[in-house]
Amino acid sequence: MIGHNIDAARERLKASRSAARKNSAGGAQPSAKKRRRRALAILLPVLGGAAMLGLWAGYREINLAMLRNDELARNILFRLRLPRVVMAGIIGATLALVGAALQAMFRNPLSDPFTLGVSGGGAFGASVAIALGWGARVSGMPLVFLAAFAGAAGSVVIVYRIARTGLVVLPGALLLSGVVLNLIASAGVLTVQYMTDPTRSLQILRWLMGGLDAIGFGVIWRMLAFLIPGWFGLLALSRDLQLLAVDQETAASLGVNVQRCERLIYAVSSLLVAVTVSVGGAIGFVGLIVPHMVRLLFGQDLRIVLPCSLVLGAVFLILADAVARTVLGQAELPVGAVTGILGGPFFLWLLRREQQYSA
Amino acid sequence: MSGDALVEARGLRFSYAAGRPVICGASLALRAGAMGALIGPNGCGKSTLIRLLARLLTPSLGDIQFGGMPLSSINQRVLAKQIGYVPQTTSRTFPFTALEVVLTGRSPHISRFQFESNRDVEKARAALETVGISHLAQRPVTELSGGEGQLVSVARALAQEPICLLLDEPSASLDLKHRAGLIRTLFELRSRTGLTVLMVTHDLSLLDPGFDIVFALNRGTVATRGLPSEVLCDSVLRDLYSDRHIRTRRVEGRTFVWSEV
Repeated sequence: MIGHNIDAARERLKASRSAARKNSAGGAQPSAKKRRRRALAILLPVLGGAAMLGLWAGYREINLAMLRNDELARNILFRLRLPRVVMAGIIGATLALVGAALQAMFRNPLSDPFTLGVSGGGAFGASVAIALGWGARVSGMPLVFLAAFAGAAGSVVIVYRIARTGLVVLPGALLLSGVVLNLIASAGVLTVQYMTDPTRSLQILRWLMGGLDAIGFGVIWRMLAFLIPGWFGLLALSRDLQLLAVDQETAASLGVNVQRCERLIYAVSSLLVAVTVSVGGAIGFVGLIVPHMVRLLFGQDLRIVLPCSLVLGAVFLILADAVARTVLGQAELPVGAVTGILGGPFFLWLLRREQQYSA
Repeated sequence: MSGDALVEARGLRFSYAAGRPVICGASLALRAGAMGALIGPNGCGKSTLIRLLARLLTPSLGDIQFGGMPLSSINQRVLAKQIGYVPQTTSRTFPFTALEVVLTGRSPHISRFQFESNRDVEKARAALETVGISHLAQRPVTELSGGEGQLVSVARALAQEPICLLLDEPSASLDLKHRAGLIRTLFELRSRTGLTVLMVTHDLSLLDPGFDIVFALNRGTVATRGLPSEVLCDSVLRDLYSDRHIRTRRVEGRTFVWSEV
């Protein structure tokens, strides 16, 4: 009798499913795998287009004919614009991916490397290193980078310790401690700037605003040596992040080693953010905006959100950098200013929208 | 204690803050295929005990055996295929669809880099159908009511296909129909698949008849255990809840429990 009931339910289900298959317009959603393939099939050409636009945009007009016979045009394109577009792409991709992972892990849609103070901590570490003139390397690693990593990792640990009580991460405490850390870090940076000599102070300021200029491929290769393993590390955790984003306790009961997973994400995120901060400065809000755009476009599944954030993050920062290079004519705006001007209002809008759910 | 117990806990002790044990000396045994209920006053440690049994917390003293093995020695992924846990409340941040949430229940059965197969999706849909919420499959969980959300959690645990289900007040925000429906579903699964169930509940009138054993938890220890008819009586319950207004009555083969207002 009881078994019969369940069989009957299965039969009904089969019938409704085959009906849904026939009537494809009203049918069920395609599988996550298909949706991911579809999303990437859209985004990768968009990335190609954005890269083209990034190469084309700039004060000096360049067209294909010039490339053939104009040495200067070739130099501008391949020595200046190309590394810059690539740099914008990899930094945008990294920040967006880390943002998506942090949002899922903390189950907090307002998390990103910037709002949680990770970038701030990294910036503080890096500016100390610049002020002290640490051009040295420790076993091949620039000290600026090591200092940025220490700062970023320190912020992550502090935010985590404060916001977490037992199994619960308090969203209010999380963001507030991020804000306070940012304040402390920027006060620290100001102090460092005040105490150091004017040249270095200007260097720090210029770098803090987030700029992608004057970068060659040598730096890019070195960055990628850290970034690519980090990207794959986070992407490999997609499934765990999916479960954590739904509910932490349930994730644990479904076999996710929550503590190990969280520590891995902290470590990888600090590393990734430190690399981007030590090269591009504290570029804000990319990690916040991009994952939200991806979720609006392609749904919530983290196995889709993470790879798509990586690609769309690259698109976003390439375009933001193109705007930064062209909007003032011959002069150039720091890219961090562009993302800040776009991102700040977006954050406020999001905050207002989230209140409807969580207040 | 019986040798064929699926879950057996002895002398458990646990505290969140030092010096204030929530669980002190709790022991219980549940044989395979049994329906057990865990009752007791607010704050007596029911949720903590069930978390210990689900290995979400680790006892500071005592030991838990699952299927004859120390619970702590079982690989986490293996355990996830055997024990399903339904939390009391689940806060939902992101608007995953109900189907996506239920599909997470399949993850212990899938390797890390795989997506769910069509068969997994079918199982998830069957789980939604079993708890009677197929119509919610594509709805964002952030828009569901408390009771609907709870049913999604139960469906998620069913999609997991565990041999033992630990539920923390699954019926708390369910209406009359779904409350009884949930218990009926658990009975069906028990007789069909031999599922073992331990459920924290305040719904004392749902226990007799049907449940095999009731554990009454008081101040962190199992004070009384026995058949529902043995535990659900005036003297035991008045003592357990320190409430002399409690009444029990058997009507048409069921035991009803209420507290006089």
